[in-house]
Amino acid sequence: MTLLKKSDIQAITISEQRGFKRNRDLAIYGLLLPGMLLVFIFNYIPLFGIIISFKEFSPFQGIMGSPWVGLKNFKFFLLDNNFWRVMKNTLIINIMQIIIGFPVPVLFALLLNELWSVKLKKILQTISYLPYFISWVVAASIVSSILSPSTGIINMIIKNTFGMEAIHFLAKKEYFRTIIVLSSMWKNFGMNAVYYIAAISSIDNELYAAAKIDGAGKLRQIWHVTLPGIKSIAIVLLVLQVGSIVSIGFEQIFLLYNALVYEVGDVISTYTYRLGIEQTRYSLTTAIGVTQSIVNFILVYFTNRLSRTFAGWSLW
Amino acid sequence: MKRKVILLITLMLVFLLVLNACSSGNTPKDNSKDAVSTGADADTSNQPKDKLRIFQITASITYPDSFDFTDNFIVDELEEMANVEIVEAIVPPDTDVKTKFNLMMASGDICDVIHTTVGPADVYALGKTGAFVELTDIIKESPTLSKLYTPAQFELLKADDGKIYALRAMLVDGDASSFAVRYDLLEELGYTSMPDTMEGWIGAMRKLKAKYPDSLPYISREELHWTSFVFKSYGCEANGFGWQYYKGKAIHTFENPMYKEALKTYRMMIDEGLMDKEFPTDKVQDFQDKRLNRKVLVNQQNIGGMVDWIDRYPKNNIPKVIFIPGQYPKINDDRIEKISVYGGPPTFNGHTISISSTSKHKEGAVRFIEALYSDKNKELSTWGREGIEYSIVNGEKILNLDKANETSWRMIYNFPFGYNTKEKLMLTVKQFIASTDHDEAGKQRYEKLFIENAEKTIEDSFSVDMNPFAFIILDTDTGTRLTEAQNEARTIAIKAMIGELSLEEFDAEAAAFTKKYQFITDEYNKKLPEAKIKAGIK
Amino acid sequence: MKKSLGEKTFQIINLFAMTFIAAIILLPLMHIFSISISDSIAISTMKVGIFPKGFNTAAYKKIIGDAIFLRALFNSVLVTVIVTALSLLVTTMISYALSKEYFYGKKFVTYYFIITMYFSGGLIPTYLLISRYLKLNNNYLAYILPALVNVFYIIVVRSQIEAVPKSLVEAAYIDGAGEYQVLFKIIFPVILPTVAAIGMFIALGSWNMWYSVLLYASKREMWTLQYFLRAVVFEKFLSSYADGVMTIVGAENIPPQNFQMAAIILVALPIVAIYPFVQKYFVKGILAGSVKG
Repeated sequence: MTLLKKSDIQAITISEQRGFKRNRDLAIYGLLLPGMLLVFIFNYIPLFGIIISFKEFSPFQGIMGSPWVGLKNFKFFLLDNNFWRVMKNTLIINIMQIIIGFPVPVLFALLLNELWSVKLKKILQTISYLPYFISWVVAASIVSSILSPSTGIINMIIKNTFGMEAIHFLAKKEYFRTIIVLSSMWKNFGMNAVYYIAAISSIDNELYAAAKIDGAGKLRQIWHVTLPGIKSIAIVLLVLQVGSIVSIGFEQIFLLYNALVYEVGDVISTYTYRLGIEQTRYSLTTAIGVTQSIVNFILVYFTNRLSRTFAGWSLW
Repeated sequence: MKRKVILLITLMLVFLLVLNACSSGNTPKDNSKDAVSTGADADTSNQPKDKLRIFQITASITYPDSFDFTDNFIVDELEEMANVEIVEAIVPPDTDVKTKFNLMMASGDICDVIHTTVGPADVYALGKTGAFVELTDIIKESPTLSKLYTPAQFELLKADDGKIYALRAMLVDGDASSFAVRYDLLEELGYTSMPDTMEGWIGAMRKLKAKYPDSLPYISREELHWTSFVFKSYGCEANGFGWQYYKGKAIHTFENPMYKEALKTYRMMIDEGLMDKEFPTDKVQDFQDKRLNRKVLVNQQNIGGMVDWIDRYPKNNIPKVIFIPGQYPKINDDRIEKISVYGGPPTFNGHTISISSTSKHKEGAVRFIEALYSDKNKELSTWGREGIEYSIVNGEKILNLDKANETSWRMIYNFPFGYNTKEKLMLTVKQFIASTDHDEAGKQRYEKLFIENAEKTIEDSFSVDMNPFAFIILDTDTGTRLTEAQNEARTIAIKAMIGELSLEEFDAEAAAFTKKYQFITDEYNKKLPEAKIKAGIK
Repeated sequence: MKKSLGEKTFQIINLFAMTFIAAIILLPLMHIFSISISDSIAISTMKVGIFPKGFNTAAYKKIIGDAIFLRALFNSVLVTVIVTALSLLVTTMISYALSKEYFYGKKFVTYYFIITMYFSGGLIPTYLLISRYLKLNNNYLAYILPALVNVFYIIVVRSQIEAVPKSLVEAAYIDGAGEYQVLFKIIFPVILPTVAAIGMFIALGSWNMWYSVLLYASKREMWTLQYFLRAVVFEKFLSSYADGVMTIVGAENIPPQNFQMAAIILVALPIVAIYPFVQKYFVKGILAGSVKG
């Protein structure tokens, strides 16, 4: 966001005046109305259903007919030791995903952009996002066959090239989180890079020309032209990702975890699945969902403030 | 420009309206409502047929894509018998039964007849909130239904408030927990009969491993349901991680004195390479691949499930396999209780049939259910139609295999009878063995071996009292904690089995575990006396 | 174009890196594809590596030949096209409005949208609303309407609109343009790459939708392709390996892996086919020069 000079303010004809301005605001609300209506119907009306978390919901009795139980559902999992372990795992895995998984799409987009052939760029880009389409059912089986102690390629290399004993990766607590983060990155980096590729293509060529004239080499150009060009979208995505930190995809972990790695791999979504869905306890699930939302919101609130201070951009 | 935008938006709205009209329309319930109200004025001389909607489960039985649950020769026959018309059948995919069922209950738009597999606990709970018709009198007054259950079984149908909210499928007398043996491998090693002690089996596994170093004589899977071969033989049922009935009380299986013996056996098997040590991360596909390809001598399966595997071996080019049930090895030790080794007499499976309390055609629903439990349905779903799927030769029923396979979906309607009846077992064993790669004599021998061993296993299984645990329904909250407890126990068990925990460390963890979840043990013990009465144990 | 030594080295390293990335993606994918057309026996004895063994398109034939397949395909295409078009429109409109420096009630409206990203009522209330109160069972609108507004994309697009040089917008105002004209004639072309990207994500999401079908469709005619794959293919050929209940799989001789893989490929194919067209918008410099006032 650029800061405006006093002279700019005078030059602007309509915007900067407080209060309701018919000409300006009517048009704007015209743009907003369809969206606000849809959101009201499909997001705010169901929001009323959050009261399920304070009731013991029975499908037949319906939302209104089910009995109130106050904070019982919240107490049930907040006092459960396992829940805190699960919360910790969720946070750790997510932080790992941000640290490892966030820079990779950016780097990839940058490197891709530097390829000299447009055709090559297109081909590589297409290849990069293919894994996104593989369902986790298939991706998980690929992961486990690669890591298999007896037939997996990684262990073949370990045994034959290094002469060491095979490692049962998926059964070891030390490796599990890393496996999750790396496989998730494999699957998603191509898709995530799309945002950055789009942003890079919006950068004005003139800026590169100007930098070259000023004597900037490749790296310099990247640093001074490309990076600033994608800065805005990168911050947005980062803030949004932190804001969803307490939610990890269920399928990936469910398919890859096992009894030996529960302590480090069990996350909120798998926990909720076992509790709520396998046993159909909607009230409990809703209560967990509410808690998740609150934590996410707190996280995003603070990230937002940091972003406003250090990067000059905020979500609201 | 503004005009263009308005035009565009108007076009979109019109398009949406058209789309709305093009959609498949409302549920047939609206149509049926109108029809019923004019029923009395119907010009036919027959009574107007009640129009029913059913919610039905297929339990993984496959059916052709063009199949219509409201219009096939079995449902047509049932409609005729009950003088009803099935106007809609909601048949969710197996993976989503629970979701669809709960959504239906929540929506208020409930089918008249509801067949589901969500389990008696959920169904009874819903019944208590008024969702289902109370069936006690209906069963008593119905000629068909009153004959289904003995007085003892009738008692079993009752929820803990004494009311009956659902019918159960008939007792399953043709199935039992067991383990599958590659008898052909045993014969290859020189055996002429199955070993019957634990040492005997271990010896056979060692011989197999010596002959084929690449083989995996015993395999399992992450859920540990598949390790019963050892755990059960030592009287530690509940798959090694749950609660069990022992010497009259409820305990967690860790507290069973034989548990550590079982652990020692597992350790030994893993160290010697007799048991696949990758089992903690094996999923379904891995397990099945290994079963097929790695010369597995022993692995877990109930008899009903085993039958399906008979033809998988020849289909995958694994020749001359003889895949039959085995009996749990006998271990001589007073600390082992037979009731923990064997499954007990026939029980109900998880299928329930109920009538919605909001149904407008309750009598029709009852008649339809009676038709479902009729002998005619049993015949159609098990054998098929005479002259088509089966023929009578010398007074005996013989299946016409090709035709019978074409309408294999008939099994779906066998749900009132529990699917795995003895009759069905004999039938399908024959069917599957017929498609294997043995010669005629080989096939007959195979069939004989399978049936003999199945009968022995079933007999053993039914020789003990009913396990009272089957009649205990835990409180909702305890039930939820139970799942978590079982997960924890499973972790401890697996670690001990593969040697990550020494036996001393196991002792410590097991003690801590039992203490942490003492409240579950207590609740089981609290409900045990009543359960014992229901199970018929003194 | 003269390149310095440094640049040349960089290009070579880059190429290596890219080749490595391509390899770790392509090899597993080829494995998947090979399985989907390999001979069944080779699959179950695990002899299939990166290249297929035997040739067996039975799975594909089975899926495509199914009567419901075509209808499901039609439904998916219809819903995807409509959702993408309408959602892009609505999203852009909202993003533009929210990108304004000030209008009366801006803070309220911003919170109004953002809160819905974090708080929701859950499955049951949404289901009751759509199914019971709006009576949208078996109706395309149940698939379309809830999917139109996605606040995440609104935020992304908004940030790109904010990055458009003010001078451009001011010039338009001075020329007498109203808000709608500024949006569609000035802003939209400039943020086209992002819009194209978002459009692709929306299309993907819509194409992969199956949960709404599970919830709101009771008739096969309303199935989408994803649901068809899940309900028919997965349920039929994967859960038939359920233990406990005797299952008679009939004459099907096609191993589940064939289906699984074939299903993946059929799902991804349309999007992969369309993406090159979308990539047109991502080529750098296509809009260079148009920004200069």
